[in-house]
Amino acid sequence: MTAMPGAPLDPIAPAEATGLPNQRGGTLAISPWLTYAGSRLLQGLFVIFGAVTISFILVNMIGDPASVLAGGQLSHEQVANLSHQLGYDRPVVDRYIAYVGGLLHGDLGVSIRYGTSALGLVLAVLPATLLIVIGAISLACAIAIPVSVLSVLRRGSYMDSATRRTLIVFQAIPEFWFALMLAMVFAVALRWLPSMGFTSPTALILPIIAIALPLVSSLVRLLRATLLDVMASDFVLALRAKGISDREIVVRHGLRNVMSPFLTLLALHLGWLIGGTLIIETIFVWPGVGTLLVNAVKVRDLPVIQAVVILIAVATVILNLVVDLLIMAIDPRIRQVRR
Amino acid sequence: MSVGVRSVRSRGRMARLSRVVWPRNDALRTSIIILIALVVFAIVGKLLLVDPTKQVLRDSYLRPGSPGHLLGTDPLGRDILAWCAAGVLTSLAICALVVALSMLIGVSVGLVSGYSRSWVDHGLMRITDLQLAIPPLPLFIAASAIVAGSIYSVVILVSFVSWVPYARLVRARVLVERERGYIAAARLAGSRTWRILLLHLLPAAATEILVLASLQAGTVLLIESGLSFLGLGLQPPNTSLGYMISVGRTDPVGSWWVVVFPGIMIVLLVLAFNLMGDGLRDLLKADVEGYSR
Amino acid sequence: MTAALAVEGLSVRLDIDGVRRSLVEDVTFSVPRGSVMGIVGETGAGKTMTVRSLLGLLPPGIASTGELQLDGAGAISLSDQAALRRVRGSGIGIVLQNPVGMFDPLIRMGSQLIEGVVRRKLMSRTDALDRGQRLLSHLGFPDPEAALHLYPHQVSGGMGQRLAIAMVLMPRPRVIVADEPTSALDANLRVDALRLLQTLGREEDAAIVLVSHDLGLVSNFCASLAVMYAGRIVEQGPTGSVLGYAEHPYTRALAACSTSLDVAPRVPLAVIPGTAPAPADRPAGCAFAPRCPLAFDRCVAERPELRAVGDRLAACHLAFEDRA
Repeated sequence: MTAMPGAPLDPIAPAEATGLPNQRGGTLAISPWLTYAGSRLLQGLFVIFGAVTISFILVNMIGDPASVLAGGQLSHEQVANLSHQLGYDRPVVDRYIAYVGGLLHGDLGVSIRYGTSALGLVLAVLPATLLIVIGAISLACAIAIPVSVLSVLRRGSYMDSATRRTLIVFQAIPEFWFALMLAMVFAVALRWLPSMGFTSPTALILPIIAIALPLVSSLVRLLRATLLDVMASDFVLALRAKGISDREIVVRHGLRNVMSPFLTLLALHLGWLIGGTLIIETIFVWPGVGTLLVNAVKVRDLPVIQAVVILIAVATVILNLVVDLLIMAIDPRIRQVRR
Repeated sequence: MSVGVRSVRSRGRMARLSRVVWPRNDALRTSIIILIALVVFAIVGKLLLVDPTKQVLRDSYLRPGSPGHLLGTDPLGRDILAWCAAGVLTSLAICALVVALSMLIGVSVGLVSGYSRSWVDHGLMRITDLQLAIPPLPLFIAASAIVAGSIYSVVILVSFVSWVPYARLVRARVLVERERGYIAAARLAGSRTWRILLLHLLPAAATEILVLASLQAGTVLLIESGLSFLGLGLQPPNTSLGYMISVGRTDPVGSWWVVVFPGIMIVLLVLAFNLMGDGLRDLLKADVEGYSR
Repeated sequence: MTAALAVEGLSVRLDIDGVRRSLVEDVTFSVPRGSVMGIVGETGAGKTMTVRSLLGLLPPGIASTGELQLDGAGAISLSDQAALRRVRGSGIGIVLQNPVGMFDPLIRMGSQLIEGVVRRKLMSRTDALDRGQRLLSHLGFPDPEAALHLYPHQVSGGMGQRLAIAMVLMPRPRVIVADEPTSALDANLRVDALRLLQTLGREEDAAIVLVSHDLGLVSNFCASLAVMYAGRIVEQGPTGSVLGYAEHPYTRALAACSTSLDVAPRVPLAVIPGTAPAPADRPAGCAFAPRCPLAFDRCVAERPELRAVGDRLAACHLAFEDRA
């Protein structure tokens, strides 16, 4: 077979990398990944800085830790001395600058209550929280994705409407109440699982379920809606016209095309979770970041409070960056950078 | 339930809104029934039942079904049934106030942001990004240490985290509408900006705002009960359902009714709001997916 | 010689929430191998529904009845989803109006080209890649391997259409349907695209069904035509006869509209006044009667049936009345 004569081919627009002009008037090719990651990191630093500043302001409005530590048992003079000792009678601006300076060296101050490094305290409790958060997200995805896929494939069926009704009810259940009920039924009444503290690996189960299930309905709602949108698009029609089954279409094409909004929502939830495991940790007496924060607020342990806030900000920034890069990896259209 | 394509097209927005009164939409009907039942329950309860905040120590820890206490009492002798009824009223009041306040803030920000499109828009959007990035709970904890647990502080606090969806929704709408001919005509005719915003752009987004408000009402209630549960929100003499759940926490199985019944009330209320939001969204064909939390 | 595609009594019905409308009624045609048939008509005439029902790819709430036969094999009922699914791709292929839209934006062209045949186990992966490259080369790509590595957003309209055609040709279908193949193209590429389809049909020994609203453009490449109006075929037969000796006033008007673009300036363009009736408003008599300059009493009262006149079929009372 010879090429078709007289058949004009339209010019292709190739994927071009961003360029910086080099000395010879050409451009240096820089991978779009780097430029994107770089700009997001910069934005992230800005956000972290903003969080540090705002938290500093807020936290200092709470009041002088010295008076709380004193607990009304010391005289004014003694409180003032304590305050001076802790360094809290210096002007706010001074303290701020000193704090930021320390921050850049990795020093987040010393816990007023425990006397050890604030950063150290936070890092010590971080794994416990991370375990339940990551466990919960994994469980939620493991449930949400198959449920959404089935719901889309069996749209309009009894299973689909039953699932949706269940999810609507689930969305109305308060998280803390659900956690409490779980603890009541499985830990206290049935005694199948431990209810307090990180005593054994099985202690992970209830907190993870308590966090995961409310998450599922939010994820399924999004997945189902976006999958249905994708299934109505032209390329899905073309795939069906090739004789490929709907099940294959949803799994091989549909899921990939909805990853972008899905991952974004997931990142949003994850971000809230990082600070939001508080209630769950309180109910299950879990030695995590949330418990640390609550205790720190009670005693006005400012360095620890700030350390936690900064941790949350950093985690959020990293999370968003990872999600953005993942989305870039999945969607080639985003990688195409215009000159 | 549905109507042929042509007849829906020929009905105006007003006609559609009038369907809200007795809707054919399943979700909407169910939600209105639930809400009416709860309101009736609350009002009757307020009139007929004992004062829920009254502590009768000799009657503490009574089980459900005890004489005079249909749903039992809490460790301090407060009647659970009365508390639930009063709690429903409190919750509805809080919801109304928070939705109103957050709508006020959010819609204003959205209108200004979408219409100006200049650095004002940019700045406001950065603020909303920042606000969204802050996980609400730690914020509450920190804020609660500053502010006491009165109704007003709770309302302000919860509104503070709830206004963003309205802003983004309205802004998106305004960005589209401001390019339309009638806006340009109004501008050329010399209409002042605030007139354009209030009389033209705001009504254009009205149905979507309404749907969002309904969906947000449920979220607001969940946040408020969470706060009260932690002791950061409403305390007695305010009758918050979340607070009562925290009371029952000390002996969760021994006095399970103190935890279970107020929780069921919360679920019913939030369910009703969510169903109403879903129903309104289907009825008014206003899609707010992606804007609500 | 058995036709590559034979369709009998194809009807499409809307059936949703108690609302029933007939969208397409009683379409019958056949297309020999290597030949091209055009289905022309205004938007809303039912052309797309007709071809979609050949694949069983109608939207929910819409069903079809009738039969089709491929190469004289057993008749397949158009309501038999399972049987239709077996024929999709390998028996009947379709190129959609927006060819680039036929591809998943996240996956490279190469994978998508071979996906249909490989997933359905019609060919091995290596064979499929090989065939893909040869098809692309035949379609005018100087570097087929590079083209296969592209993503959909990186190709232009014309290239995208060739890639879509290649994708459809992979399983060697007996019939290729092209739904408005030129609407997404620039004007200068349209003739080439149609010529390409025509040649391919001959080479692959496949029947081609061209759906279009542009009678003038399409008629140059079709051996036979079916003119549809308001869900029915009003005239069909060999292109030369249908255009040259059009019986139905609608056909004549359509032909006049298309060719009028070639006339001298300042001469008013030919138009057909009024609009086609929506499925809900189709009159009892001839659907075209309200717009027809030659309509008489019988047209309004009684719907004309498709009857043979000469070497074609026409549904018009005028064709069979004595013209006074």
